[in-house]
Amino acid sequence: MSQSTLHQFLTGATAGDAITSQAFMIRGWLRDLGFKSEIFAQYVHESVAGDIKQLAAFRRTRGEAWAIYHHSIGSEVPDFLSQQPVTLLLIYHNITPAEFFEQVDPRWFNLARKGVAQLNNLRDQTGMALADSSFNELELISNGYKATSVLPITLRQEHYDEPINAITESEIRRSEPNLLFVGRLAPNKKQEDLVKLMGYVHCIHPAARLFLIGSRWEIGYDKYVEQVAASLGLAEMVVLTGKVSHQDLLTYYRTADLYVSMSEHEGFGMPLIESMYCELPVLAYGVAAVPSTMGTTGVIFTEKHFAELAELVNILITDKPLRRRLIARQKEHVQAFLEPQTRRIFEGTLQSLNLAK
Amino acid sequence: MSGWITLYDSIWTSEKITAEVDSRARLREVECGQLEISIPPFNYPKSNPQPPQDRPYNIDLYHHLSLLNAAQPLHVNAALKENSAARTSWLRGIWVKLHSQINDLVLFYVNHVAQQQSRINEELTASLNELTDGITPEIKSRQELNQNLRDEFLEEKRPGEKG
Repeated sequence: MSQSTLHQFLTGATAGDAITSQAFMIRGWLRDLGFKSEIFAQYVHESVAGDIKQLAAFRRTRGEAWAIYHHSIGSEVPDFLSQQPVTLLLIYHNITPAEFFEQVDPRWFNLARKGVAQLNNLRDQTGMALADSSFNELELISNGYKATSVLPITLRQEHYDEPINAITESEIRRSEPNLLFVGRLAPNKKQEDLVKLMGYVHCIHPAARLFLIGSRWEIGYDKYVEQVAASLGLAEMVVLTGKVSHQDLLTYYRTADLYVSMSEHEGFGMPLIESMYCELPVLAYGVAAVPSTMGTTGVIFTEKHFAELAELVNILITDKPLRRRLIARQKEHVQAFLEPQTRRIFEGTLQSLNLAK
Repeated sequence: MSGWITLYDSIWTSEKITAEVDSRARLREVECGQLEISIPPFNYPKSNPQPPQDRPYNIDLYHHLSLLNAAQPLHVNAALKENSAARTSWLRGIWVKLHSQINDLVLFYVNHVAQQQSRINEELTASLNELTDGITPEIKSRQELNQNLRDEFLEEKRPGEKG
């Protein structure tokens, strides 16, 4: 059996978001295979408004038996799809556990819980479930999903080979060494632990700076991180940039000395892969999907011993031969996340479901 | 502390780098003194609400609330520490040992109660901030409704007055 229409559904779509980028990539692959394919979302940011359709605009066509759904949070999309006579190819991107929002944000707390309940409800309608990491695949299996596989998020190589911003580069190089973390300002990302680590690193490298790239997502959390930095006398050393352009993001990756993550929950951890591609050594707290995303590369720690971590940061910044070896190994690892490999996995999945030749 | 760093490298092993950072940290402690950094947890996005600019408000409520927020740090750890007597060697006799054990027992319960009270204080402050923020629009809405009622009452009364 083959079909000519295969649409994708997601909760929110915005430019630069990992799930949205993957949906665009898959839409391209589907169209190359001859499918009529669109992306529908409940929330469409103006940055992608011309390219993504509103969920309410979806009309199922005759013979349309399958749909692709990206699940990452509770929303109206699963309920909408459950009303459609279609089998789902589910792509699971993980749900940040509700406990991270319990004392902080009731709305996200409820959406996270709803997302878990919906993951269970979608099981019977799902013909195949893909997870973007083996960690997420285990979650699917523990939720009773039978047909599962791993489809890593794709890194669009051409986007990361673009030239960097010379002005931003000189600003970053104004003071060295520089640590980098990329991710929205949210309690589960634990940016405050990075600031605390900076307190220790500062004793070894007084000119060291920490760049926190990411949108000021959680109300009050960004102020809290700034207050922590100020209370440690690091207001000048900790820079919250907010969301930056893709060119600036590349500049940070290519100019910083070390990528450090203290995040206590990552469903995949795209910045880890982006750092690796941009030849930036990675030091990360090994929880959730982080170990499976990093594979046998970079440096992973499982305890937050700050004084010792500061020494580790120092070694990773100053030991040039070690840096070269780490970067070479990371570059090799990141090949698995580039388009030829992930596209092959996706097309293989469609063939196994008899959706493509 | 062992086995908490994983590194895949042809020269450094995980064990070797763990031992190295441990040794460097001890050395730095000797050279620069022990550095203990503690930070408050993120719990309370609701900060001290500011009085509304566009309508009357209860001055006392906002005054006491600002005093409460100023007095209440984000997080308070129990301040009691182990008594020096608790670290005294056995050689000073059985009385010291007994004293130390009783001291530990008291510390355990006092710290427990102090932490619990501190938590309650923080929750109360946050709740009051939330409530104050929440009632401000309600007050405005009530004032508007009252005004509407007065207007309607006057509207109804006018024909009678004329008559």
